Amino acid sequence: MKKILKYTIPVVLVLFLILSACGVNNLSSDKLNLSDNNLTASVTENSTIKFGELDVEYEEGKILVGYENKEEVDKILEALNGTIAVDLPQIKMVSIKFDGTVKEAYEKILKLDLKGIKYVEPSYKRYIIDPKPISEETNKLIKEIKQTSVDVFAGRDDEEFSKYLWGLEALDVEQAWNAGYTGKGVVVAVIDTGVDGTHPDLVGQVIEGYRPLTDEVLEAGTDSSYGGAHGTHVAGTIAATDNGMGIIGVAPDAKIMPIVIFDTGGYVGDDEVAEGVIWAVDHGANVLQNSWGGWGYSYTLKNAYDYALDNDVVVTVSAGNDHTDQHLHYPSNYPGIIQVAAVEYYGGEYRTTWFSNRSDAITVGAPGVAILSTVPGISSIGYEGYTLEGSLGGFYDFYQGTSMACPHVSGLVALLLEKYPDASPWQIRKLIENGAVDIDEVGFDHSSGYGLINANNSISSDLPADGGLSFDVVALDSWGNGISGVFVTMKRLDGEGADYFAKSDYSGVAHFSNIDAGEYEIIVGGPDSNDRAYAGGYYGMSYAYRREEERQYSDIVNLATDTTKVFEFSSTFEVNFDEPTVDLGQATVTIDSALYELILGTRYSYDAEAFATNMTYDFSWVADLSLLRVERSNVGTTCTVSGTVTLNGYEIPVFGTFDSTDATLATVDETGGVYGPSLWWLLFGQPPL
Amino acid sequence: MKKKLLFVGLLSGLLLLLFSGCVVFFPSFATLELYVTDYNSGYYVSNATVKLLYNDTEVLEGVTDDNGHIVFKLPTNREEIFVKFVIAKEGFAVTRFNNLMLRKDEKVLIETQLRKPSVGETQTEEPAEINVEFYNDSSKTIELALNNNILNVSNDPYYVVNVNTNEYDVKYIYVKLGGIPGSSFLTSPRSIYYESPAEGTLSLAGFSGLTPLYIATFDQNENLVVNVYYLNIEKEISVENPYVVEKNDPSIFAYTRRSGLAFYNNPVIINKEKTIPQIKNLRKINAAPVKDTNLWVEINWILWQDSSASLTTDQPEAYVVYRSFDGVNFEEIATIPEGYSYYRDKSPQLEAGKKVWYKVAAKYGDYVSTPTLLGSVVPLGIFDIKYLSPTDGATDVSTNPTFAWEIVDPVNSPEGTVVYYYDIWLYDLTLNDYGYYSLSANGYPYYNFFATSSTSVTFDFANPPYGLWWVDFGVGDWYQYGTLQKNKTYEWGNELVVAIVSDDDSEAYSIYADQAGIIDPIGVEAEIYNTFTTGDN
Repeated sequence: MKKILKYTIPVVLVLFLILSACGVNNLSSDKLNLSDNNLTASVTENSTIKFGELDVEYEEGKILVGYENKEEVDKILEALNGTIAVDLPQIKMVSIKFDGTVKEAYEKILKLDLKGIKYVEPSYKRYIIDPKPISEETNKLIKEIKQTSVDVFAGRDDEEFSKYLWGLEALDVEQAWNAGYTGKGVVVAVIDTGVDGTHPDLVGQVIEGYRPLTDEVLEAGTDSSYGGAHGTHVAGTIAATDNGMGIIGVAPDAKIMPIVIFDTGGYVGDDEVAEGVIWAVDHGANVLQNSWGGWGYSYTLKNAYDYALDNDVVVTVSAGNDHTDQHLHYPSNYPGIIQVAAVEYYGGEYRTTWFSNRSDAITVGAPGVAILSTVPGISSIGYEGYTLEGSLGGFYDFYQGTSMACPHVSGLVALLLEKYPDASPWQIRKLIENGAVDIDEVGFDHSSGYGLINANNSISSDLPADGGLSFDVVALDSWGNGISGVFVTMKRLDGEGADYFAKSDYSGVAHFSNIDAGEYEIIVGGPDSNDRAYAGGYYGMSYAYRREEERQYSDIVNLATDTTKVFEFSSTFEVNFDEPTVDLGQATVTIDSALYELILGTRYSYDAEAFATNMTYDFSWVADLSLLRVERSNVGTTCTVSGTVTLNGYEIPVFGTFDSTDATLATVDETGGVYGPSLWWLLFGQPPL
Repeated sequence: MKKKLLFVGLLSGLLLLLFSGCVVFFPSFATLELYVTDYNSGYYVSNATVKLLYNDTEVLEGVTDDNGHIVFKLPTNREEIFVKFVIAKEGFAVTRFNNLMLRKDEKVLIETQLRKPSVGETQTEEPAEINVEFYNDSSKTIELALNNNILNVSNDPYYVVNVNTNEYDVKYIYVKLGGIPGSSFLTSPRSIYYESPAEGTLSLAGFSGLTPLYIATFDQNENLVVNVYYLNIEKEISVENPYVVEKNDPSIFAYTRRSGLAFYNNPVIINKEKTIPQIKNLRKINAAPVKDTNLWVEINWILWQDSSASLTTDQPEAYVVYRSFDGVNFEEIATIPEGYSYYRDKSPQLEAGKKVWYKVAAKYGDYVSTPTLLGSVVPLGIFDIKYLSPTDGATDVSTNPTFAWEIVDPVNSPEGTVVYYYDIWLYDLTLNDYGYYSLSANGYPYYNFFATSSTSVTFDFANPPYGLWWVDFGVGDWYQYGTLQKNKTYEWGNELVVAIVSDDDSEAYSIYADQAGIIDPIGVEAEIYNTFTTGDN
């Protein structure tokens, strides 16, 4: 008992410190109106820009700006004396680097008269999936170890260190090689810490790559291990050369395209990752290999990987090393990707390791424990030590983690794409699933999905013709406008595998690329009044700030081909006013378009009706982000007009204030218009009769 | 099988007697008792074959029983003999001990490991050869000669260890005096090296007389070779006022953890069940309760320099730890140099539900002070959790969901009432970038766990227990609503689930999950975040 008390205090202290640290990053409430009603979007009274939260880890000296009108970006550049780091016109986003803090940048931007800027947000941090240290001791290894003689192990080729390449044997990959498939003509983009292309076992394997942080095209065969050894280890497992020395990769004739997203300063940010992904896809990558991730859904990453999948680029992602059965680890849980668990040799009884994340979204397992692969040399940028030195002078080390499992799958994808160059990501995934050997529990399970990958089985299989598709859930209001920030759950009603999750983008589309055919329950909600993701992405952002604005729909669909399912949102909006404290004269009640004002800078009223206290104003037909206003003719006093809004059946007390003696216009909401856009009304209208 | 073993043993013994020229008709026996686990503090390895070699000739062979236990009684009329033994089993690596001294009419107990190989099969019974040279100091100018595997020393010697592996490369080289080395967590103090040769100064502090020196090496396939040398340590240490070790209460902590950690080697694993490990009631409880779990006991005492007697007693050279399974008969199990105030007992003889007592004494050369009884503890078994609501994959869940779980196979203890400590985390991360919530007590929004002796917990989101309320850590404030959003997918789970039994001198923990490492020194990840989707009410 005493011990638990003993530990309680440190835990409390740690959490206190965490929260305190968050507080340091928070802007003062007089600058930004942070969540007094648990809203996470932050706007000011006189600004229409949505500002990303600052209470999680982010990078200083950098902001991401989403725009409607790019000319307005120049004002921000000038105010911050900044430069554009990344420009992605495809998604109308720039990132800006500047000297100073994000908080200071927010304050400067607030003083600008900006129109056509959708959002400003910090560059949030994400993390690589660190390889699990084989031991605390191994992590300290910087040494030379005597090499043993070359040995030959069945199924492990005849490389210098073949005896350690149990993963090749587990994959039964030699059979695939003997069938003539070695990954020739396939490009695997290693989205990681960079790759040491000078490693003797990678010479000739590393093609031109990209370093988003510096917008630098990396020359073929160079050392780009800016973020450490991780990416070089991954690359070796995929495509180390077949030269009898060192090791051999699963696809020794595939090529590696390094995309550096963990640079000298760590994670480069979602914007840079998106840029790297787009660059890779546009420059010929056939596979995106991702041994990294973290918690939380990101619009940015979702859209980037959708771009890849929709361009028939296969995406592999490691499941993560947290053990827990979950669906909140991304990018591994985005629809359409191949999520990979880590398998250990365990005396030849192959089983999923403890640390490997579990869930029904696991596609397959692959070797991820005691994996020997290439690491940067002493003179390379990413040198972190080694365990074995090859006869050609290359260094090798044992790593373990789902990070090491994923490149085994990427190598297998390369073999399959050599045989089936026109295969879709779904077809490739199915080949891998169908060829997997069942381990762990009998049948599909949450540990290794369909089992341990098997190259021979998969390469011997015919390409599945049917069953893969892309599905769009479209959220529209009654006027046909797309609704962003709508959350969609696709609950699988038949077959094995994951449920799918996505949120709608600016056009109202929640996209599910390369998913399984079958029967699903589509559960739709929102737009998300708690949408913290729009602060971390470029596309989707919810304009809903009230729970009461959220709507709910669901349906059962049986998907066989590419399909679009439209959900037309509707809402009701009625207003009653109490007797005003003073005579308003000839007063009118208006329902105005907020978006019109945002874009054009002038007021536009959908309706204007005489003010009265004995009637109900029904504005349910309006579908827009709207302002409820009262306009008066009599001036000379300050006063308040109160009433009740009935929004989708929920009664909400509201008021508007004529806050000066000459004020003619009062905005009506829960706060009397004080919080401005954050309390504008999001209405979806009514379906036509 | 037993008859066969007996016959082989008697025959071997007879041959040994004949070869050794003995003429006695009623020989004495030297006894070797082995416990074999798959890693330190882990589960027993049964049916492993153990070959006992004398003069490099196999003289006895047997297999470990269901408890990983085997006893060899070697007939001999010699005062001491040096033997080797090899442990092997299909699907496992190889463990080999060389130069172990057995003495007539005495028993040597070895608790060792037989690991699962990490990269391939092992073909040889001699995975590595270890050679050591001793010098008087690091200058290596004067070599100290072993005499019949015994080294007479009075000052700290310097050693140089050379390891030649036969199949796989060296992974670790360990050196430890007085005990078999392994991870620092369980076997400190010890020295570790990552390449051969390995050299360093061996501290004799705390030891005197004939003391085994264990030099162990693992290769990259988890094969273990241990060479044993014996140091005859001659030194005189005077003591006038010995320190009778003082203690704090509680000073004994028994850990049973669901996640088996192999301790600084290829980790572990195990319960492959995706959500709720189904561990049967009829399982045998001993060593680690089930495969891929850990069980150890940590004891603490007050160092001399921190004690109330530091001004009136002499500083000891070491501390001696004693253990008893009946509270009467104590056996010495470890010598810990001065400066260490704890010892972690990882013995396979520890069992869940089996009471164990500990004493600690101060050591001055050959003199040992009156031992202090620290107390006793009964290690707990393991338990499981069944999540009742909202279950993983549930849809149309109320926006005011009922969170409910229950303990499966509750633990029990004669030492007191079992109290379960829980936390709960709710995540809005499946369809959001950072939304995470947990319960906190009134006063300030931070994280709290709660305790109950009940084996089931049920509460509604809007009515959490004990005046707790939800904290929205994303915004650093209280959660503002009494419900969740409609038609949205969330995840929830327990990151702390620990059973604790306390009495005056000890605490016993059974750790199901402890992601933050509040009790568990390493941390045990949550088993599941149950994914559920709310409905429209």
